[in-house]
Amino acid sequence: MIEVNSLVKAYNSRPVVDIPRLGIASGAITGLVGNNGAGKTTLFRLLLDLVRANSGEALLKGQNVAGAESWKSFTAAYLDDSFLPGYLTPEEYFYFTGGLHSMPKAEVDDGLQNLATFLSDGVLNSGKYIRDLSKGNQAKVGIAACLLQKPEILILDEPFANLDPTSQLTLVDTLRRLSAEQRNTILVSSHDLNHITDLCHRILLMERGSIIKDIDTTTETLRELENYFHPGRR
Amino acid sequence: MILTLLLHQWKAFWRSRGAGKTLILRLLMGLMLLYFLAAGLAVGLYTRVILSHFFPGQDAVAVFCSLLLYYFSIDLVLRFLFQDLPVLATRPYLLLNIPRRRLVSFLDIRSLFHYLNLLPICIFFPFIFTDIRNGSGNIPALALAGTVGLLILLNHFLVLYVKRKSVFNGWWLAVFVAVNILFFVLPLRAVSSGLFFGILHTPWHALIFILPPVFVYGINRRFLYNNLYFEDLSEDDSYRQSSEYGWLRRWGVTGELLGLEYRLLVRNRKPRIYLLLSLASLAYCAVLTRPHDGHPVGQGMLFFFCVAANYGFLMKYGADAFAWQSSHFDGLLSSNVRSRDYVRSKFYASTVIATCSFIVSLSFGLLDQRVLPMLAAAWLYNLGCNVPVVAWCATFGHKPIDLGKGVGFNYEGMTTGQTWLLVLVMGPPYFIYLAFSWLFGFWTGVAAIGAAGVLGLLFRYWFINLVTKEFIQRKYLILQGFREK
Repeated sequence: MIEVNSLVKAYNSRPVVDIPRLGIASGAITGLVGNNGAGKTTLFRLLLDLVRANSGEALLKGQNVAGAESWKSFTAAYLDDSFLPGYLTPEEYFYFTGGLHSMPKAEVDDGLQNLATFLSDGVLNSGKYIRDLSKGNQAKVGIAACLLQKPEILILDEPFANLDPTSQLTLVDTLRRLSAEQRNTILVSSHDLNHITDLCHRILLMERGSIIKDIDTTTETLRELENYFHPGRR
Repeated sequence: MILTLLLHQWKAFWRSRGAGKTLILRLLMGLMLLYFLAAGLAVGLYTRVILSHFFPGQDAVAVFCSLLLYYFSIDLVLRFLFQDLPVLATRPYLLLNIPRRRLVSFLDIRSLFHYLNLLPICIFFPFIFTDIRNGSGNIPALALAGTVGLLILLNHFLVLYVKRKSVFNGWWLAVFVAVNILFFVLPLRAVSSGLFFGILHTPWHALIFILPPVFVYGINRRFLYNNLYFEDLSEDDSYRQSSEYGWLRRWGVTGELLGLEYRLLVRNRKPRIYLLLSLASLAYCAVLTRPHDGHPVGQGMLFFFCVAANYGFLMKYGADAFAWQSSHFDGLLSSNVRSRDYVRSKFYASTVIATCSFIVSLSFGLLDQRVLPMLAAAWLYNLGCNVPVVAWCATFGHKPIDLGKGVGFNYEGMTTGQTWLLVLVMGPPYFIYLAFSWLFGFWTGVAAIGAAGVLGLLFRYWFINLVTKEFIQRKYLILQGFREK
């Protein structure tokens, strides 16, 4: 579903992303972990054709993202609040993204119904523009808009940051269901090792632009990751 | 302290990522400004010759005095359009151990370095210190020079104040423009003549002129001092109703994008202010097409005003067509929007805006019916040629716009790039008009502009493809630029 071939992105000849090969099968939830500056967000941007790669290619469903645009119809992503038009109300934004996929209003409303627990109070019918929402609620709007599109490929950058506990847990459940029932391919990054080991089938550990570990999640994975991030801790 | 702040601004300028690229543009701009100042100086040095050419047989000093207020009325308009509000990101400094009045002083002092403050000095001082000094003596000349200086300060701080105020309340702008327009209707020459001639005879009268600038400076300072914290004074927390434009959905993705665009324009402070500014410049244009001192405005001039009135908002909007959405550009480009649809929606939005400007400017026709065909020609040219040109230019802009920020609105607004756009937008039609009207007469010139517009409209499909290609080519640069907040 997602494929990366000798992808290199460098700033001032310092590589920020350097991945010789990576393949992610459909239906898998893949987690991306790594300290700040490891290149997680840049990798996401490369996958979404938001930055130009120095060399190599990123393929979504076999399609090179650079140049082509049809991948946009089956891919949804939320990286940060620069994905949200602050001057819309959440509802308007949902209808807008729905409209881009030619979804009738009723279908969007249905989708929102299913996300009611995730969005909780303070988002729908809040009477606020997105720019006036709290960071957490903004993140909910962005993530919910992605989920509404029923994308085959879903990319989320640190979706758990800023979310309240209820939404975090609902999100974990929702993502699991999507992957199990609809075979959606999900790629998330997070600093929250508990959530990521709990949620993902496979975890990629990034350091200085490279994937240094590719782990199929087991009960030992959390310990393994903790050991990497803070060696010597008991 | 102030030196440190200046140093920070210096660093901010050089360390911003686009510094190298904009440097050349800035240098060119600097050269242009130098040219203007030199031209001003030349006018200053040859004032007597110029005045005796245009006003033969009249006393040069008397004419000079009678024209001074004219200059300062026009100066207000110029400042209004070109003087920027100095902004310093005050927030990082507010928590530090810096007295607030220092920050305010910094903003005030920095604002004084502006070519519009230098220009009148270049124009007026040479004449005052040569001819007038020789004629009336040292003290009257000094008094006159002092008055000119004080009027510069008055205009300077007045415009700053009105601009700052109008950020929060558009009525300030409306009243200011109305009063300013009133100036041009008044018998300005007589007032000016009496005022400045009076000063030459009784120099101590000049002391009265100290009061207004001090007063305006004072209120300006107080306003800044009190509002340093708040970027959002007028932001009310009333319930925001979601709106729906179901009929737009008929046009699919383009319709959705247009709905987005419309909300962007009406719900953010900055575009709203641009809208107001454009209406203001429309009003100025309307006044300037009126006869002055019994002299009707020439056809050519009239046409120029019609064209200028029609361009205003399209330019402001179009030059930043993509930058308006800089705050969510990442999202837009990774959502299900094809580049061509996106570019096309910009074309449509520009078309709607140009047409609205045209409809509003039709009110000129109430004053003088000759302008109606001129307005129509300007409108056609706008649709056919300027919409693509402006969209093409927008693909070069990679400076983000902060939609909510109003205090610095003009600072971010009139960039060097936009100034060049002005040349691109005004230049070609001017030459077309000039060539045709010179060869076949005035109305042929007007018709040629209209015809050029129709021609452009015929090629619209091709233009959209071209701009899309350019957009795709530069989109990474634009994206990168917009991420720098």
